[in-house]
Amino acid sequence: MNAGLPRAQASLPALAIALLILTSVTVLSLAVADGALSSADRAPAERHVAASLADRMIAANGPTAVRRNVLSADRLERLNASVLGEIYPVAAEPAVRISIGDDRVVNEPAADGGTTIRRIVAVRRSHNRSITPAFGPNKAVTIPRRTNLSRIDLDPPNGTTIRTVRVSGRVVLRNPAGLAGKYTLDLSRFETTRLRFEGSGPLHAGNVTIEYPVAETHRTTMAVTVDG
Amino acid sequence: MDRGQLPLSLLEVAVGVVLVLSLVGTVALGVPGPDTREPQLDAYASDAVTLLANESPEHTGVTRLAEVLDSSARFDRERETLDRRLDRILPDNLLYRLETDHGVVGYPLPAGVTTGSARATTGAGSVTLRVWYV
Repeated sequence: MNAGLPRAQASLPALAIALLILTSVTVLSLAVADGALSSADRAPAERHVAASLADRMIAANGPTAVRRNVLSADRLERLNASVLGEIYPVAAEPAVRISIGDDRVVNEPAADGGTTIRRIVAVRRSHNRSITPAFGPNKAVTIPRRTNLSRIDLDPPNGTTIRTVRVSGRVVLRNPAGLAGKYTLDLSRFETTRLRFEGSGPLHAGNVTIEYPVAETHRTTMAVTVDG
Repeated sequence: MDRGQLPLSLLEVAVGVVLVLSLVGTVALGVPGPDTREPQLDAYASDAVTLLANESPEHTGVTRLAEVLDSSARFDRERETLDRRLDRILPDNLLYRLETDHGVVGYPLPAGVTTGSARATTGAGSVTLRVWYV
């Protein structure tokens, strides 16, 4: 039996005010959260452009590529924003920066911030080297570097006829009446090339000039940054 | 006895407001950015494997990689060179592990790190390269 103990009463005005406060706090905070979610910028478009541009640059048929992941230094020097724009048009003109190692190859308009994708590339510089070898009795010479082509200039002395040129045993040039002048030979860069000249008469140093491209590659990182 | 009564509703609304604010605060303070480490690591691994697989051979074989994978004896002889070559190709902030049929080159794979991987197939077998950030 209750002896009249005071009990806590939930009074109706207090309840109404409490519900009002709770509802308004919930609505306001949901509005703030929705604003935060919809304005969250994860930059998917920037990342997509940067990844595709990087893929395009290193592909085997890219604007500066020699083979996949190997870029030619000469063509990189000629690359700029307008050349890139012709090859890879990007809608809405974001700012693109391509850096090879520490050099900025393309940087127009100036891009800072944004998304960066990095790829490993090898930059290849090639220059031509020329040798005029002395010949032994077998009239053969080995090209010191593996290369995929060479230009030879045949200038046999009087009384000597060069009738056949063999590359590693295969006949590449043949003329029974005699060969002279400049020729370009296609070689394989996967094997060492041995040139052999067959014909009548001796060959001396200076009769044959062999020019071949020598390439050096060094590995760097290419960073493609897209902003906006 | 007259005691000051705290309306129970006030306590309830205080608890309710704290609950709602804590739930909403998880998104209102900012959405985390996407994890781009794995696609970047995959790109690094694929580039390294391409550069490794397309080198000219030293002795016989189609490419350097096919040459090294030719036999177990040859792999054991050349694994140091392969290790050094891979170390030079990859940037300094990455560690790597190259798994082949004849053995493994590189560092042991730590547990629980994000890794990127790439695979190359040559005439003499296939290799898998895994890279991760140091």
